Amino acid sequence: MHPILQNLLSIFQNFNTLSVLLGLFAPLVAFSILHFKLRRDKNYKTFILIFLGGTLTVLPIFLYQLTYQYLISTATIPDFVGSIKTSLASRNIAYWSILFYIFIALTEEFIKFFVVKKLDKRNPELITTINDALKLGIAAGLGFAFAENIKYFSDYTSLGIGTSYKGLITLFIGRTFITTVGHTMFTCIFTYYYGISKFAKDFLDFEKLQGKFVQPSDYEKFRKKYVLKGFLISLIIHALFNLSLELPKIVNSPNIPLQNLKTISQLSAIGLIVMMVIYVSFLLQRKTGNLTFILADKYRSSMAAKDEEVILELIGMWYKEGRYKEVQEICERLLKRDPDNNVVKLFKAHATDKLAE
Amino acid sequence: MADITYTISDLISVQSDKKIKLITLEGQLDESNVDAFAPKVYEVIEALPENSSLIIDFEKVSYLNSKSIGYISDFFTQLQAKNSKLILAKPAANIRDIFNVVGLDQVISITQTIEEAKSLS
Repeated sequence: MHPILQNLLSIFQNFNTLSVLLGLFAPLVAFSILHFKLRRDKNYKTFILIFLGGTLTVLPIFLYQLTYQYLISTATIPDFVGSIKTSLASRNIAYWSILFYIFIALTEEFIKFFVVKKLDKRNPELITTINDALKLGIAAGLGFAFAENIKYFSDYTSLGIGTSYKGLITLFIGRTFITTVGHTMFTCIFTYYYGISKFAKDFLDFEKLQGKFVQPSDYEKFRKKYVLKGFLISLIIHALFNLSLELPKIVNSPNIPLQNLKTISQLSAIGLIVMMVIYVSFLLQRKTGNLTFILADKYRSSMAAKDEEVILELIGMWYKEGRYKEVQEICERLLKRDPDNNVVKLFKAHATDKLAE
Repeated sequence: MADITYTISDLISVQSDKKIKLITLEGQLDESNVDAFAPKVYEVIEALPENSSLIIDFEKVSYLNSKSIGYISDFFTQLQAKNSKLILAKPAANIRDIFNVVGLDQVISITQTIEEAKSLS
């Protein structure tokens, strides 16, 4: 046998190496797809940065573990672990488990949010469409899954959790099709709402023209509301996902067979993933998500502001009356006169979405 | 509060069997007066026989709001149902611009003179 082939085979025969390689498989395949799809994208370099930034988001989780291990090793109390167990025993283990998995979800989502927000602040041109924000979410989520998978698969062997190939394959399938996809989707949902919040003024003007009363202070409130909404939705789904995966540990009831609990746990996690994938695909296909928002007017309108206001009001009125075809046509003509008007673009995109429904 | 004054008159058609009504407007059509003005036009439309024409003279109109355009579009629909025509005459450049962007010029005749409007009736 050729020496290279022999070396390659020996890698796969080594259980630890094989384990880590399997862990990297899913995020790398997903990232390669992203690379081929986005290599000509204006923000390609930033996507790589976000992916790398996403890998760093596992650090706080590692930090928790290290702190815990440090506390155990340096504890002056003779039975430190036992004392923790005694304190925790004041409440049901399910209570602590729920709290723990919510806390983990909170930490992970907050850090992914932090990475996206920091990069957007440094380079506002990065997100000019809501779909740009969704793509950033995919990159950050994949980065996280990439780093977390290394940790999971290396722990699987090094901590002696498992030594069987069957267990490894089960872990591989779970981490590939459930956890990696899950993390990507949680971040996507958050970044979608983050994208909306970024264009708060345009979205609120869109509502204002349909008759909603809007005060100047509402713009900032709208922005904060959508950031919080996205964060909370992704946090809740993430926490539910974590809890469904850990259901056998949380329920721990002698009346329900463990195998049944495992099946319920896997099915509910898969169900959540499927719902999220459908939802994110739906968001990506909508015209509203694809339209490009202009951050600063490059081209001035060739219409007088007062006259354009009349047309905008009419668009709002007819949109509310469901005259989507007319709205779409007026928007097309108005965009020839005022190409950078984000509100007109929003009306056009919404009308197009409504006509497609 | 803006003012709008209007006069309604009959025009003599080249084709004697056709009835032509002319509404001459002066002032601004806005939120404060458009809802009071529109029913007068509906009354005129109602009274018109089939196969007639309504010309609205915009020469002395300096502003019209979105609701007015909505009404104009509705006048057109009502007249069309009676096999009749709506013609918008002599709008100022900015109002003509609004009509063009809204797309009214694609369905409603817009003329520079009343004579031209009469000839289209």
